Amino acid sequence: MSIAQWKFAAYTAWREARRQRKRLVLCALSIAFGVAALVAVDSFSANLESGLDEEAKALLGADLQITARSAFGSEAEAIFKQVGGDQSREIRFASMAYFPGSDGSRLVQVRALGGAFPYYGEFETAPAGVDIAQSEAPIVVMDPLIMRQFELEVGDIVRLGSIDFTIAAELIRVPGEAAFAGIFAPRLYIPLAQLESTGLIEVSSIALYRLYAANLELPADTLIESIQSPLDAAYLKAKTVKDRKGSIRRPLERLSNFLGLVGFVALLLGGVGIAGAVHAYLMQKRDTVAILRCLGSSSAQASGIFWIQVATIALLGALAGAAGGVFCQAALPRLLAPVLPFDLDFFVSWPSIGVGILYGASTAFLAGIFPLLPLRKVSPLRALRSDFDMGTKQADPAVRMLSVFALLAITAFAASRTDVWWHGAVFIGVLVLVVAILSGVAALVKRILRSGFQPRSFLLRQASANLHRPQNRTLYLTTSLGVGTFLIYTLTLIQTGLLQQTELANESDTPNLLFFDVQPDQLEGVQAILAERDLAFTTASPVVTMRLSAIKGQSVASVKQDPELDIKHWVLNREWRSTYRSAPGKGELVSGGDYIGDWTGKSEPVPISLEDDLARHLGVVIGDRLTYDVQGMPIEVEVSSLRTVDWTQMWPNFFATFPIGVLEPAPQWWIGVTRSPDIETTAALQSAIFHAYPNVSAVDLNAVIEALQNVFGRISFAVRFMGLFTMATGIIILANAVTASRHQRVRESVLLRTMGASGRQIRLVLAAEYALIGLISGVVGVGLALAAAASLGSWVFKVDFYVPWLQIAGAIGAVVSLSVITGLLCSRGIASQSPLAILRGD
Amino acid sequence: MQPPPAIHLEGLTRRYPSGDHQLTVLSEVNLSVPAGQRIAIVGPSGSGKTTLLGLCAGLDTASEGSVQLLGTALESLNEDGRAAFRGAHVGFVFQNFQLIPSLTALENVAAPLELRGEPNVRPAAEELLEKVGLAQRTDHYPIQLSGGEQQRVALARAFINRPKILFADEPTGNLDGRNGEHIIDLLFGMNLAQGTTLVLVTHDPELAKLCDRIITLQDGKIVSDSLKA
Repeated sequence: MSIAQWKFAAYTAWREARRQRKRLVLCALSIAFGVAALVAVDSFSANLESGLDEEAKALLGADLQITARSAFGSEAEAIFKQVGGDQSREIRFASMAYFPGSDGSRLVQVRALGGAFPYYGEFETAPAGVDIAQSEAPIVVMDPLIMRQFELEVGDIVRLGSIDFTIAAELIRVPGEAAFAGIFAPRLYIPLAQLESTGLIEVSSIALYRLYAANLELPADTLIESIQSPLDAAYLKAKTVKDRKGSIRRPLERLSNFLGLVGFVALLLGGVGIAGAVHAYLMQKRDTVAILRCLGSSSAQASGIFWIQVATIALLGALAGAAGGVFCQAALPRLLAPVLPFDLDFFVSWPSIGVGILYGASTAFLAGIFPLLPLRKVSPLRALRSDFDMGTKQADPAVRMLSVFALLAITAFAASRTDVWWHGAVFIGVLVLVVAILSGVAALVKRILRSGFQPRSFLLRQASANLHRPQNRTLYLTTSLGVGTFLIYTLTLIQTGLLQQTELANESDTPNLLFFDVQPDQLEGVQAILAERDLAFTTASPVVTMRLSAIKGQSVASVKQDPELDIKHWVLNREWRSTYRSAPGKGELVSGGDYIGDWTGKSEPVPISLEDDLARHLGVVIGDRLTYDVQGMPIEVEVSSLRTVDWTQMWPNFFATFPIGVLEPAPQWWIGVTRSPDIETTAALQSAIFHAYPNVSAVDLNAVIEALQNVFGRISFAVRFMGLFTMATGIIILANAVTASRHQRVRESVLLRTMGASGRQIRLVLAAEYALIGLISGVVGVGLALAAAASLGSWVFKVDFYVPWLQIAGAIGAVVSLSVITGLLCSRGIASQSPLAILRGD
Repeated sequence: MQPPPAIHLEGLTRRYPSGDHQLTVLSEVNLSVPAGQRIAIVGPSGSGKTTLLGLCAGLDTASEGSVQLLGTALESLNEDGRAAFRGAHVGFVFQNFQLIPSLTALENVAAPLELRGEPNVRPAAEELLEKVGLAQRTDHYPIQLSGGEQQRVALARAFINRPKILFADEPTGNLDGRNGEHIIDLLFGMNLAQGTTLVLVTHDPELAKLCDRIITLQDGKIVSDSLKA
């Protein structure tokens, strides 16, 4: 085309749009929500990335962190000498804290800190400037959570073990930790020098021993590489700033990728909306193209007008979406700030905006090309015969090629948004399946309505006829609303399912109070305290710590270096907390072999039972042998049985269980659970146990669950927040479809009015029609969501799935209401059109 | 040298697929129309009048035979070539006006010139609208005009590129008697003024009589070809 022809096309595109602005704006909005979602998520990710880079060193507070699960021995000390630089130490463990002022007690995370930590970032307190690590006085810096819970103030007393500490300040921020870090067990910092006098750390107590080092001669990562072997040998785990950044980045990346994927669905749906709206628009423009062809316009020039319009709509929609995305971006950090381990600055990420606009505009334009392509084939003969080329449904190879390209592009995008490419492909596959099912059901319903549905009510008959009349939008509307329903409700169901699991403790006789670190000589005393309140341990198990030293005769060190063995290092390095018992515990099921409950203890190998998932990770089966290092004593064992463990149950669960008669002499502590009838009994028990045995921790599982729900709630809200973009797009699509068929509706309504129908009756017909569309979309979308949530629950989250009937009814009702409200709002004025005016207008 | 005829048809046949067989709508039509002649094509419904008009104007392609307009064989041109030819030499008036609903009267009239990329098209369009008596309605959209007014806009549009051949398909078919007469007066007046070859498809014998030549079609064949004395 010449420049003059392009000019004409562009000018006519603008003139064509003059009287269609509302409709075109609505069409552009289809893509806007998807772009907004993508821009919001990508900008948020850019903010995170920048925050991580800016606060990199403060994320660890040092250059290097070395952690052990037992007190540092001589090997560790030798390594620390080699590490050099400035060093600080910390011991952290769970313990009960007692508050004499209120006679209350609570599980806390004690962190005994010594040295000049943090070397980077600031240990923020209120009042400021409290140097807990260097203090020689018994002072404590406390998490604000616990300060508020027990109405404590600076200067109040907290008892840890046998020592009274004075609260010196409230903890504001520790470098590299989120505000939520203390939500399960509030953090409580004491000077390391004061720890011993508390008497809280016993030989077999669970504690983390940590060394922080800074100002090293070598870069931390280089240093770690050079001392990796001695670190492994001493069971020391080293972490550098790079590792810490990675461990923070990975889950956040996964979350933002997932949010991005959810946003992408809104974009895809928007594409479907654009395709549908443009199709309806262009159906009415075929005559214009035919006239222009008669007047001497080439095919490219005539259809070029509409290509320009679609490209403009795509760009405008994407621009509007990007602007909206920037606003939403501001909301995400606020929502997720408490779970982030650093301050997040809000800034506009232009690259993210650019990418969002590019994706949005391309998606919209690509979607618009589908209805644009047939336009090139409009014959000028239509100007003479308006029925010419109606009903010719020959497959267009260009449309086929475009479909394949679009599918590949969508899959590539989804794959780029997931850790593993095939996850993206599966996501798109599921989506395609959902669309296919929705389309199939819509087609079936249409067929049923056409052939057999003859209600007595004329209004209902008219409404159902609207769903299958020529050029109906039933399939398109049902699919778009249904996909939105499916996505949002799947997310809601998964959240509900997971929360239901955690709420079980409130609903049944499962334990809600857990005691750990009970030394063998304290067991009877603790049981006696329980008995005073008519309670007893539902289950109590001894815990013996050990490490794996050989698998099938091959030492762990050589297993790690064997390229043919693909066993994850976390399995090999972990400290095992095993028990001994005569029968499988509650919530455990023997899935293979024979569970041997008693053993003479004099001969090896000892028959043990392994959790089946862990056995799979280790690559062992029944009959295979392992060697454990039980606190210095090697014990050879043989896997005699495998167990499936339900980890969601609040019973003490173990990877390895030994028979009675083997581990009894080993250093050990006990874990026990019971069910407390009410909060008061729980508080009284915690207080009594603290007074009698300060080292024993009594954990209120309800408080833990509450904390879990809090964290989970924020993240799931963020996910559903993104899901709302999809629903908003679905509504825009519905509005588009109603607007597209408005002219036809007006004619029908006028005809009905000339036959004597009232405005109310016409509105009822419309309401019934949109209610039917909402009902089909709602039922199918919710049904598919149930299937998806049940599958995900069973295979991914390993939780039992419960069908929330009331919630389902509510969800379907919400979709029907949305459909009816949107439909009626967009049909405003149709029922009140004057028949005469319309006939004259025609 | 004698100028080529405005329209020259040889063995023109058009078949359409109908179920599992072919339906012949136009069969072996031969016709030659000299430049400046005004011909009427008449015949009962379904006789092939509109099909013949579509083929003559290059809106459709023949199953067999050839169409030459002003010495150019339309079958030698592709779809876009035929469109360019129409833009340069052909004008149309349709029974149902066929104005572009989103353009004003003035813009509709100017469209053929704009399509050719001509600058300053507004004065020419205004002049033609004045000629058809719609100088005051230039900014009105088709929906704001009556049927007669719409057809007058269509006439102005048909003549704006000074076509050598004008095809008119039942131009008064959708108009009442008075409006119809007005349109015919304008059509023939402008035709005479520009010396255009006119091909008029009509049911109306009185209208046909105004032309120089009457071609009668029946069952897709020319059954009579009478020249006015």
